[in-house]
Amino acid sequence: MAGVVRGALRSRRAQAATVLVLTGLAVAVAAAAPWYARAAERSVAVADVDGARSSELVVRVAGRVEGSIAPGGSVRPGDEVVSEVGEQAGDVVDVPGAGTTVSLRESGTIASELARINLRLVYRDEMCEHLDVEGKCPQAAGEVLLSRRTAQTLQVGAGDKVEFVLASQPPIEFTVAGTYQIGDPLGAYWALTDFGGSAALDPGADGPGDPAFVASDTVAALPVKEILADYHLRVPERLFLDDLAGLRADLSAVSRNSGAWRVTTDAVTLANRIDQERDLVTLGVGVAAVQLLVLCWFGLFFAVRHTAEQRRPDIGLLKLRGAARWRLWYLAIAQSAVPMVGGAVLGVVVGLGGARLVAGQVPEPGSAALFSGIAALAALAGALLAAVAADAGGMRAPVTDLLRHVPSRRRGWRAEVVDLIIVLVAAAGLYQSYATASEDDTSGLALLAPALIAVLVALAAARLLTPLAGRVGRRALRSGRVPAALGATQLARRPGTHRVFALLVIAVALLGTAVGGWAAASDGRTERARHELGADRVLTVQARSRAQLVAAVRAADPGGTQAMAVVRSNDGPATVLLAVDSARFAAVADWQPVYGDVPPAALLRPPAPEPLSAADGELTLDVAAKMMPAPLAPLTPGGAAGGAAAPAPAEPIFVLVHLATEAGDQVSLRFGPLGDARATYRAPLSGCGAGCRLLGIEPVTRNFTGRSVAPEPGATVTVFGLSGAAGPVAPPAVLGDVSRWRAGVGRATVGPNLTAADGALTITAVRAAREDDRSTRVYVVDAPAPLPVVSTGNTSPPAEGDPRLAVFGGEDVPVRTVGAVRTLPTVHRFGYLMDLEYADRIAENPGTVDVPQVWLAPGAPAGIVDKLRAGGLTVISDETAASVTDRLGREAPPSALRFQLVAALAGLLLTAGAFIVVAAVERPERAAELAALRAQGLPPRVVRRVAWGGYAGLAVAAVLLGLGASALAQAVTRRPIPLFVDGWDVLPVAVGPQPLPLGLALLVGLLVVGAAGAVAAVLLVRAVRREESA
Amino acid sequence: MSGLAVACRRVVHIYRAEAGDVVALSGVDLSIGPGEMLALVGPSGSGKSTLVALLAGLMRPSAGRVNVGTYDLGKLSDAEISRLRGTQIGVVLQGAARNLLPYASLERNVWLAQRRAARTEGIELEDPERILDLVGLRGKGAARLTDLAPGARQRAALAVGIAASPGLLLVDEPTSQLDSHGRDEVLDALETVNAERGTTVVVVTHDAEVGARLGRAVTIRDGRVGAEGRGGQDFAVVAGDGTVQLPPDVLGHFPPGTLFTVDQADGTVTLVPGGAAQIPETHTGDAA
Repeated sequence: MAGVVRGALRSRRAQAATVLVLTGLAVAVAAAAPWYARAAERSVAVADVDGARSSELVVRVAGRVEGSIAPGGSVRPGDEVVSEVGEQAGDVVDVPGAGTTVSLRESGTIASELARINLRLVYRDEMCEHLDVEGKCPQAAGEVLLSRRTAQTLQVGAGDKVEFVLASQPPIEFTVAGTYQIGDPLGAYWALTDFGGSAALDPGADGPGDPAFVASDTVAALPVKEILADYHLRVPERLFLDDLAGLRADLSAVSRNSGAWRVTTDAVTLANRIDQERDLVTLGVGVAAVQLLVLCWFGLFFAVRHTAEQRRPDIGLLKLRGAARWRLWYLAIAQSAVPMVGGAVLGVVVGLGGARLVAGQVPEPGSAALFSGIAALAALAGALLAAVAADAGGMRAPVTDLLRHVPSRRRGWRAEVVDLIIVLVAAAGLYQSYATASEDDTSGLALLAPALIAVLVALAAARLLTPLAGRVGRRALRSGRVPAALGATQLARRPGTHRVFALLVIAVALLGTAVGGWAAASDGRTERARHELGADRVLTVQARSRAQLVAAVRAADPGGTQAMAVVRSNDGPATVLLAVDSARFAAVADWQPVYGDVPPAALLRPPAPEPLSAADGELTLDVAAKMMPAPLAPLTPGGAAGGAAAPAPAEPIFVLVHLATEAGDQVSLRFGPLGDARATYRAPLSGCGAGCRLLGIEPVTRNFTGRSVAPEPGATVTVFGLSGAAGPVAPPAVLGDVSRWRAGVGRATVGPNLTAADGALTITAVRAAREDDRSTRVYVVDAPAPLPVVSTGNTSPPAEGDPRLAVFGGEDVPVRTVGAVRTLPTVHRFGYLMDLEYADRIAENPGTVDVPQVWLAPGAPAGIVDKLRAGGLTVISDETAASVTDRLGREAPPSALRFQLVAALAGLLLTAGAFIVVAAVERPERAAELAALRAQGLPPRVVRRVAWGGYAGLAVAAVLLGLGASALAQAVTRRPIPLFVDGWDVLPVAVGPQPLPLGLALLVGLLVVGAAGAVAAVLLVRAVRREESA
Repeated sequence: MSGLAVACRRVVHIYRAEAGDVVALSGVDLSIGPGEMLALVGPSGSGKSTLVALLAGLMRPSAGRVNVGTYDLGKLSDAEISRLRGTQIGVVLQGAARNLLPYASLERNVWLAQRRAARTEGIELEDPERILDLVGLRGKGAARLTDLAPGARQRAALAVGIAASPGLLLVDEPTSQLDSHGRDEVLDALETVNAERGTTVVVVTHDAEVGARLGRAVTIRDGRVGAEGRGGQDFAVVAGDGTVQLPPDVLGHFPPGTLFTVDQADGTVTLVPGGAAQIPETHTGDAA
């Protein structure tokens, strides 16, 4: 019997080869799917970890340990305190393989003679390795390392003394060991600390200052009852990739109350995101694979059923000889099973090889290969079942039917029932996908919805095809159009044509949907990357100051069209503040039309008085001071409101003149002590080079510690002139114009009173409910206040008071909305756009959580980065729209969509193969018919037209209808796979069918299905010729 | 196996079709003795092949009885009929190619046709080579159908038909499209089978000479047994319902509707036309 089967396979090798290829394709996809899903799961996890915020890779355990003045406590060595923290916190969370760091900190105020700043005194393991230190890193007790900015504000340097003041404790003197700038502000070392961040500043409640670093002994010796301590664990990346469950178990303390220690981390968020991505990959790949498998099985069913037509006489013959049933099945099924098994073996090799090539290695190849094997076996089993089903008809048919040349065309009720069941299942599935789908639901059914629509359309069209072709044939015959009549009639009479047509329609529709999803996701990624970055290329930099940032960028790109200084900051978690060099914004920012119109520079940067500037040399202040009655009386019952002269100040009054260098460094000069009479005072100004910007004037006095504070209420200072070597810095016209001066804009700031007359400015200290709110600092008006801002349309004005924004993360400043747009670059929900220079001028304190960036336009030359470096900027990250697009491309949705695309292409190839088989099987009969007609005088031209019209025409019709079904599916169903795993939807994405992807699918469909149709037509024409000459 | 007797009694067969029912056999009475050779002759569409299909159990009669040996085919199940075809009834279809698997050798084809009988007790099967030898195809066991000349193909088909040593061999048009030499070869083979095994042979043919050579030729006309030729002489046959069909040449002289008086004397029946012929209008139309 085996010999008979061998002979049968040899004589029908084309059909066997097709079945082999089709099965190979199905099995290849089935085998590839688990491997691909595994590999994609890993690669999306790798991408997630790569793109993770550093806080997601770090666990922080915060708590307290005993300080030196705790009951029974004593000053301990710093090492002892550090190891105690390590032991206690390490018991709370233990992640194997994690690197750990201990930090000790205490808040207080650090003060020099000129200024005071609230900050944290910090010890941290390995801190010196992560700081760029000028001077030396503190090793001994009593040494302190200040940030360059703090040192600059305090006007101190290495070797100088500063005082650290803890509440209710006498000042402690420290020696400045050096200054630092954080080397890797975005690195994991600084994650989840209060002292990292790109600006290396601390926005915490303790004050805006940068941390001051000290040795552990220094913190251990502080007179405090408890020392605040942090224990950071850097989670090894491999745990996220290989042992998510173990990591979750390790981090179970996160949501637990662990006594004195509190655990915070975003690692769980990352773990959840990885899980979500993996689920999406598995689901997306799984659904695509199942869809393709079902398509394969149907394709195989039709292919085998058509080859079974050729087996009918064989079966009939065996039945005629009374052969046993098993022998009939053996002869029939073996002819399909042998090529199927062969195809399966090839398919496994190709599928696994392809998946490995495309998706790479997987962590546990054995288990992935096992799953692939199971899937391949399932695919093969399905294929064999399809073969059994395809041959079952022949087994049931009577011998006379089997032996007939032209089989009976009776359509059995089973086919009707199968159609009905398919339609019902499709309709129910579609309804279910609507009924159960919420916006963020990605259930399998929702993923299947487009395929179900394709099935419905395809079946309906296929049902119409036969009667329609019959009618067209009859009409054409009546009107004498022979080619059309013959083509249509044969189309109507060919058994199984409508089935293959339905398959082709479904395959093309799936391809259309896959290409549509792919294109939308691809566009979405590009748009998101452009939006999130804000410009074609964005450098995150470190700068001494915002002024230096602006100056360096302007120097690197004098033309103003290639680079722009930007400082990003946040006001709360959802609001992004973008301070930009507004004159360059339109040219450099990647402004997408969907945002609205580009805000004109004039809107953000209305004209303002020029800054007053002073050059190096001696500054002369012409000033008088006296005590006046306090303009604001204390609100005490029965108290006299003003009127009474205040007692003379106990301490002399000084005047501080604040300036800023071009690099943004603050320079303060002290004039005085002032006497009652008008007099001129001198102070040398250096470090300004060509000029420093005058920030303001501040009358001060000294408190009991000798530090500068606001003088008593009523103290009045009148400035008659401020001039430098080159001439007046504040000419009388400016001093006498009260509109050129303003008090601080802080929400709580009280005072001073300002009056200007006769070319002189009078500053009077006032009372305030809280002494800390009192200010005598007067600012030069060189920027509009409130600050003009353009907001996203969704922002709402504050419930009470004037609108204010915490620009640069510092104290909030008043703003005025001058325009609104739909959204702004980089903004997720709410956002404000403002001029960087103006914002910098009006923001009173340095601000802390700002991210200095340089945005580069597409045409920016490569050398511009070197120029920026030369301008004093340190580039700490460099991103391009393309690199962000690439990162987004490594997430789960693209992986799933990629597989869908490949599966859809494979499906199309498969159905095209089935189409060719059907054509091959019916070719002899059709060729004989057409040859007979040729013998009766039918011109060869008509034969060609009949062949091409029958096959190529059918192919084109199927492609067009398939695309129609795809367009319908895309129009009425949600996108089956979300564009982004985090549901990002800031920019509107194109919904429904898009012409370009549909065009692409049309092209591919025509290429593949059209080629199959063309091959079938050409072979038929040749067969007719052969038949004629035979 | 020795030959099987065949008996058909008032066999009627009607093909059901959408365009209307077609009566293929309308009361056939036929008896064939065991080991007899018989030709079924008649024009196309007369019902010869239908009768053979009924004898082979490929179809069931609409009415009447078909007996092969001791079996009433109408009462057998499909499985029993299938077994009967595998063991006792050999069928050779019209067109040699329809009887053999084209991709298998002659020997393999014969072997396949023996499978059912091989599993049935009491049947002794001959070696495929021997069977091929019987039909004059010695040494051709490895050949395939396409390797053979037309006459040899027909004999190969015959070899498959007799592979299971059936008691009844039904052969449909074995000599069509063959030259006289080929025809003789086929008929020789049939005669050999009949002579050596005693197999009852029923041959459907258009060829009167084949009928003459087989000794008994039953003519089927309009679904009935119209005549029978034996020993070179043609006979009209009285059917079970008493009807007798006139020979075609006689019938040509009497249009349908002609009235006769029937005289019987000395064992001779004389038909005397009498009275005006009552010709139905449709016939008139046909004649016009």
